[in-house]
This record gives sequence, structure tokens and C-alpha cells, in this order.
Amino acid sequence: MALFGQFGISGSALTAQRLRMDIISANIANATTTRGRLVDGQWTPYQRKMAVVAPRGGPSFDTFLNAATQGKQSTVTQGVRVTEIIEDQTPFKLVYDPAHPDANTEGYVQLPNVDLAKEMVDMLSATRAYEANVTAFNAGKNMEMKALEIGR
Amino acid sequence: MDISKVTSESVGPKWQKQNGVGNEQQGQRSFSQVFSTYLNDVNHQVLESEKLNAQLVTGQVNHLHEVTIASEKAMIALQLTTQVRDKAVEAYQEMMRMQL
Repeated sequence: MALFGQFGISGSALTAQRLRMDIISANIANATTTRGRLVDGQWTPYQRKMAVVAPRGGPSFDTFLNAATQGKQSTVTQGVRVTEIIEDQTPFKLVYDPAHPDANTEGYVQLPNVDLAKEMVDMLSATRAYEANVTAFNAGKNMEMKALEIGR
Repeated sequence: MDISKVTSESVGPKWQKQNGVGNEQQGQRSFSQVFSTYLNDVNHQVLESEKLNAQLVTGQVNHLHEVTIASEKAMIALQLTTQVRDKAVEAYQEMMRMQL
């Protein structure tokens, strides 16, 4: 039903923010993981992950084609979606710790490029964005409930 | 709750048969047709919500908000249905009260 279009939009945003939150949790959990991936027999640390979001149902070829064949102009997006999860390419942190099993010959250990302060900021941003979408959802729901009161 | 019987038998085609001539001749859909497709939609929403609730209690739900959104959709759809029903019944009673 077209009546619930806005619910789908807010729902997709909630899903996207949940995924962002999952990624942030994974980053924090792996903040000290030195064995993230095996490259040529050498362990490299965990790389910080980030979500790339894009509007859903917006500027893709099939939407425009469908809109054109049906003689309608449709540019309203149907929410948001996570297109890919990319890895942060910033260099790893070097910490002097000769006793560490993954220390190199000079005694330095490569730690993940996860900055806990940055993750906390991202986490708050994801939480607030989730709340904002719940508020938008409730506002839309209240409008429909008010419409039901017409003529009562 | 499965209300498909209500929509297909008591609201839909029977009414059509009894009345014979509908608005279809002019290429329009009659109220009962519109209402029964709408009832099917509402039933679908309610069943969807029930399915998600069952998945929630058996631990198969990935996102909690999907469950709450489905139940909100079902609730609004059901309220709209009762509102439309009330109006239809009200109109019918108004007709019955008419002095001949």
C-alpha cells in the first residue's frame, strides 16, 4: 500500500544505522587485533571499516527507465541503503613492545588504525541518527492517525 | 486470523451477483470490489505482522524495528478498515431510518 511508503523509507534508514552500529562495534572490538589478515605469510592488523550509504531507488538506470516507460516523473527515493563496506586506508599505529608475538625485528608492533575517540563519535552519530529516524517515523504515523480522526 | 473468507464470500462476488448490474459496465470498480481488495491488503499486513512476531519469539529476527514497523502498519490499516466499516454501516442505518 502506498499509504506506508514513508514507513519503508524510515525503516531502511533504521536498518542502515543498525549496520553502521554493527561496524562500529566490530571496529571497537578489534581495536587491538594484530592478526587481521594473512598477506604473503605475514599478519597485517585489522583495518578500520566504514559503511558507504546511497539513496535507494534514486539515480539508477532502471528507475529512470521505468519512470519513462510509464510516462511518470519519479525522482522521490525509497529510502537509503548501504552500498559497500570499505576499509580505512590510513597507516597503522606503531607501538614499541618487543615482547609482543607480532613485534618486528626492531621491536615495533603494528596496531589497527582504529581511533577509539573517533569510534565513540561515530557511535553517538549513529545512535542519534537512529533516534531521528524513529522520530520521523512516529511523526508520519501520528499524521496518519490524525487523518483517521477526520469525521469521527 | 485469516479473513480471506469474509472478503471473498460475504463482501465480494455474492453482492455482485445479487445486484446484477454494477458499475463495471462503465469501466469502474464497485465499492465492494475496492473494499475487498483493500481488505485483502489489510489482511496481508496483519498476517505479515503475525509472521514477524512468530519469528521474533523463535529468535529469527535480525532487526527489531522490522517487527515494530510491521505491527504499526497492521494497526493503522486495521483502524482505517474499522473507520471505513463504521462509515458504511452508518450510511446503511441512515437509509433504513428513512421514512417511506
